[in-house]
Amino acid sequence: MTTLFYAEPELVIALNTKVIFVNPNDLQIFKEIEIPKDLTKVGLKAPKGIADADGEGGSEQSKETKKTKEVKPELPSILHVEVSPDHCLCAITTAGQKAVLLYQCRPEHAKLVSVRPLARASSALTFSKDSKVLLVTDKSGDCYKYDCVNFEEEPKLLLGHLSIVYDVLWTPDSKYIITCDRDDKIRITNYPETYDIHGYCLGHKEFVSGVAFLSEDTIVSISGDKTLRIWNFISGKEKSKIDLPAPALRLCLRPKSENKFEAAVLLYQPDESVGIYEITNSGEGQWLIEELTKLNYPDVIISNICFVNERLYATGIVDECFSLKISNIADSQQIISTDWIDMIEERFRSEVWKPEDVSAWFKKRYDNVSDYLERKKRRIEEKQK
Amino acid sequence: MVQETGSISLPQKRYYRQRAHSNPIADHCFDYPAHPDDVDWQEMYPNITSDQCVEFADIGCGYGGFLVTLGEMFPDRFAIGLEIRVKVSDYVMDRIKALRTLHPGKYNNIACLRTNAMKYLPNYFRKAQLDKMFFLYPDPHFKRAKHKWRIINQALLSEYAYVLRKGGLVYTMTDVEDLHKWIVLHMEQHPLYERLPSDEEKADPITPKLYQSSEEGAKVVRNKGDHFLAIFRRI
Repeated sequence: MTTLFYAEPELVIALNTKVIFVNPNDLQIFKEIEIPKDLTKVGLKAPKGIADADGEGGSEQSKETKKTKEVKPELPSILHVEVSPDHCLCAITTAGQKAVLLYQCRPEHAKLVSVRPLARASSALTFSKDSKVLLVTDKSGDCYKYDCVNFEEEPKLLLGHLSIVYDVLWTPDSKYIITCDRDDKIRITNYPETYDIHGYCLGHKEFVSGVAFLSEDTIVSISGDKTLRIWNFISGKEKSKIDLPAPALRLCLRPKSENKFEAAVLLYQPDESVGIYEITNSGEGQWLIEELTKLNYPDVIISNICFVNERLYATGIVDECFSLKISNIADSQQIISTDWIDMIEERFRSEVWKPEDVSAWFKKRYDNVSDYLERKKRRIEEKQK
Repeated sequence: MVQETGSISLPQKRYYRQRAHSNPIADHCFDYPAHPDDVDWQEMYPNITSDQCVEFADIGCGYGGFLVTLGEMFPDRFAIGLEIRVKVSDYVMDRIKALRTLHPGKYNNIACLRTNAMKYLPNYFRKAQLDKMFFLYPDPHFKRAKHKWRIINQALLSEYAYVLRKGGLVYTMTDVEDLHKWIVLHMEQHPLYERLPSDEEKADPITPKLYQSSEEGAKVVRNKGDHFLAIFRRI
């Protein structure tokens, strides 16, 4: 898994065991994190707190805890990375030895301050606006809260979906947690009363892979159903929609001007694998969506995209090796430094990286009805003879 | 759909037997609406008008015994049975068809849907649409690893609270005491439910029917097993 995002002024790139924080405009690397090879040596304990979260007590529980007490000596590798809005913390989730790591980035130079267990492989992360809480969603659809003030506090289960949650947002006022899942749903959950569901944004017909804020009551979503949609998430009403050339896997958004956004959408198709869309708020809740361009990446499997001002950065895989691509979106034909790309690629040269099988995101429609109906038809015909 | 034509007798259960378990997490072949607005209720209830809606849901309705009783008890209200198993749900649909033919004008207020209630309730029902939900003799999923498959669990209780109106009731009945304890524990932990005191449980006109009319229940009576009833109010 790789991570790529821009937390101005740092571009953050992660792969396998390494995170680098780099200045996109010159050859300066701000800092680098190499996660420990054995997390049990830095305090990782078995996830007993998490196993407790389903509220079951009793003897069965203690048996279970004993079984999972020995953390396997598997090497940890990075799943997701997020930087807190105040830039003081960097959260890293790992696979292998499953954990949530917190690094203090200011004033220290990336110091590991918290190692907590993770129940299942993470699927998305987000911080609260005040940087005090981290939300971690996982493959089974659960969403956990990790306190980022009291680093020792055990993770708490906030809400659960019945399938993987692909993305999570938290409104700046902390009132709503927005999650989207493989079962075509966008769910709006009240916070802190997370047992109380505010509503759903329903309309997508395949997995919803990404969501992002457009305003205090509006979000944009992308889906495997080849659409990008805009919603008022308070009312659950769909406001606008555009068809995409292929199923959508990832979304990133940047504000262009007061009423305009630019959205980059990673598409599940070879070559022209990124679409750029302009989203305009034309007033009174009306939103216009327009395709601007498609970006062509021949021979690269793109896995992450992010905007750095008017450029789109994309990380991908060529022959199981890390590759970085930079594209100018606007007309300004700024020169892209190949030295800079070489320097970054050099950092990850030794890493082996296999692409994720995205076909598993789509629902398998196995038919267990037609056979039965056919047999039933024959039985009835038989009887009528 | 294939219909039992040329006969107006009730369908025979022997053609519709199916094992009791179904994996609720796995993908199935379901056609489900993207949004409650997309549901064609008239297809299921011939007389339903646009200002009427389904208010009772029997989750995991099995062969539909209780659903039929519910339809008789509340002729003016609409009840739906949800069942994930192909043959069993088909049996209930055929049974309702036969009942409507045998008793013209009756049983137009009940219907059965084959769906996964754990995943698709919000696709069918709007917020606060339902007045009563029934969980009768649910699959106990004894193994701890499969507790997430239980129809009553912490995360799903929030979804049920979403489709239930305030003051609406959740009826639960099982012959497995451990499951009963699990249900009560989770429902009482959830801030949006409170358990009815036992005198209110007893006074509810539905309560005696819960003991009588579920066919699963009938079997338990023959086995002299115990029933465990609990009713909860959506706060």
